Amino acid sequence: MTKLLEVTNLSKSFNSDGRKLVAIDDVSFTVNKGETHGIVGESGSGKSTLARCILRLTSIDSGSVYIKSEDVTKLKKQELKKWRSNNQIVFQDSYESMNPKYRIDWILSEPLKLHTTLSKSEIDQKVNELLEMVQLPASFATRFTTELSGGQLQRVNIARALATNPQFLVLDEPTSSLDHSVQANILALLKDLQAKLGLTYLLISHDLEMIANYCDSVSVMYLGKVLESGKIKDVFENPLHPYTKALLSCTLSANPLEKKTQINLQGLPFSPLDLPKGCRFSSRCSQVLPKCLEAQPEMVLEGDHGVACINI
Amino acid sequence: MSNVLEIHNLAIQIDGEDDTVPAKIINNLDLKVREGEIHGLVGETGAGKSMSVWSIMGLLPTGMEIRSGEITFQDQKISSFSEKQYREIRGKEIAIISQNPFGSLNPVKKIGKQLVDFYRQHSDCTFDEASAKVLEELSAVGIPDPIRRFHSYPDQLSGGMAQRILIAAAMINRPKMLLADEPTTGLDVTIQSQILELIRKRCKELGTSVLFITHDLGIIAQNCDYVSVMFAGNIVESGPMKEVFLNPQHPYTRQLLDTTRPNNKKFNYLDNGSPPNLKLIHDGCNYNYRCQFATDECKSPLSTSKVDTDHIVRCHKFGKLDD
Repeated sequence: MTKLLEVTNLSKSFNSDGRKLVAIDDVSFTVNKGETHGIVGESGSGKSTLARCILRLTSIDSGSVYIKSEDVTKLKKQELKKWRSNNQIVFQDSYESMNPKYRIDWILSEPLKLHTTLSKSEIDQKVNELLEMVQLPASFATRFTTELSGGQLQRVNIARALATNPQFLVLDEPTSSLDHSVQANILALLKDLQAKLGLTYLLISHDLEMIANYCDSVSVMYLGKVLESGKIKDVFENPLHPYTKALLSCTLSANPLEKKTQINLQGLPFSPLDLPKGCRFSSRCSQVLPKCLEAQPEMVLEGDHGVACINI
Repeated sequence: MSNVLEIHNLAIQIDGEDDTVPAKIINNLDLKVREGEIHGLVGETGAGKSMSVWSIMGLLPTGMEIRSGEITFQDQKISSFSEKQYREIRGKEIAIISQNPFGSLNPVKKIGKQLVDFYRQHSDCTFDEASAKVLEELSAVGIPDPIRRFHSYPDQLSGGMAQRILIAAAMINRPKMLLADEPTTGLDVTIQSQILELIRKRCKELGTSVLFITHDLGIIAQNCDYVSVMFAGNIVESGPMKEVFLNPQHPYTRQLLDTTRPNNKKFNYLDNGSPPNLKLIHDGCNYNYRCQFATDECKSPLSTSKVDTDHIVRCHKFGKLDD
């Protein structure tokens, strides 16, 4: 397995009224080519900021991001444009990420005009191919975004991201606003495209079930830190961190016969403006020890399965 | 057990401008909620889940009205109530918790004041008596330091905390019926499980029936006694939760349950998920355009079939799906 994405010690903070808001703190992980890596965490854990940092949609404070052994953080402006055609993102809100004044064919041909030298008729043909790829009828080319349903629009969103034949795709909560049947269809489509085109995905979600079903590996984030990461089977069947355990115990199975004992977390999360010296999860952890409050636990790896907790 | 709420043959539509075809939001809806039960109502966006709730509360948006059918609550026909009569039961007999707690709270009024107002709306007491009652209710829903929260503004609360406040506001008048309209959408899973447990616990203590609206089948499976599956303004399948989930009879229910186990599908039905056109609703099965078993027969008027004592399904192909 060759590595496609390698993130090392990535940190990012924002300035909030003169105070430092730590969004991502020393995050490292790797994604193999052709696989799907899941990023899971609660709201405010820095999932989307991480995606934006990886794609250079925002600057980073420190650390490095390598995609195909190319340091993304050091790319120059001219190089960045070409690089973008290879690395795309599907945003969460498909309505917000498309111009309602443009027709679908215009939306799909824009990346082609920017990144390729195709002639007008070739572009038209490619737009039709793209629509076919995401299983939409060719007649949709002349429609406007407001005429499409959420699921159809998300397919257009995926088609737009795939227009320039990228190798790496960030999926930022691609189905969070869609109904279950539509969600299943979109994810099946993404899986299908991955097999066909050899794509690598970074799938961001707060839906653990989705991560369990569609990812090969996963990182669990909490307040800007990765608390646990590893192969999906290892993390979901044998969670080590108390937070991962609590998260998994809280997912509700649709099988009424499957009863889980829920671990109810007490206490409130720390504010990202005022983070503790010790473990970030200590305010809600049931197994907290005095030494947990002294220093940040280091990520300890056992094979591929890493966990940042001193109690293991 | 007696029924607290009964909806019979309810139909709601939005009239188009001039002579365009009206959109049928709710079509011949039948629903019963028994005393003390948690009844889950599940369906996709636009299925009419929230509309059902608003019609029960008498809060339908302008331009929409009940065309036919009736809603009975505790043997009173509330669907023909006047606004004044509705005010007597709204918040007292039937309470609601909505999806967005911040949208339901006044941002410029302190939490305590708002809850005191809720309480005094329906009981004749002084501010101090009401405050004592509010503080008691705030501790009952697990708010740490209720006195401090009494003097807080809504923007000082987290999403989970605000939802707790709303549950306190809903339960303070001891309603017979709670309408929970996607109360945990937008909350993180760890907070969601706390809120669900709180609703379950509080309603059991006070004997309140709950109509729980959600699109999450996991929530239904782990919390509800009964479930009704809604599609295009009608119930396609309804019954005790375990029976429906373990022995689903409608293709739509089967397909929905399949989406929760993508790697281990039981039925493997095809469904493109495109929403129904509410202007083309007919008396037959409105799911037929997405159903792989559909034949011409499916367009003929639909009747309700009994699977078991309480388990009903509305499908022409009932009993023939597994052949």
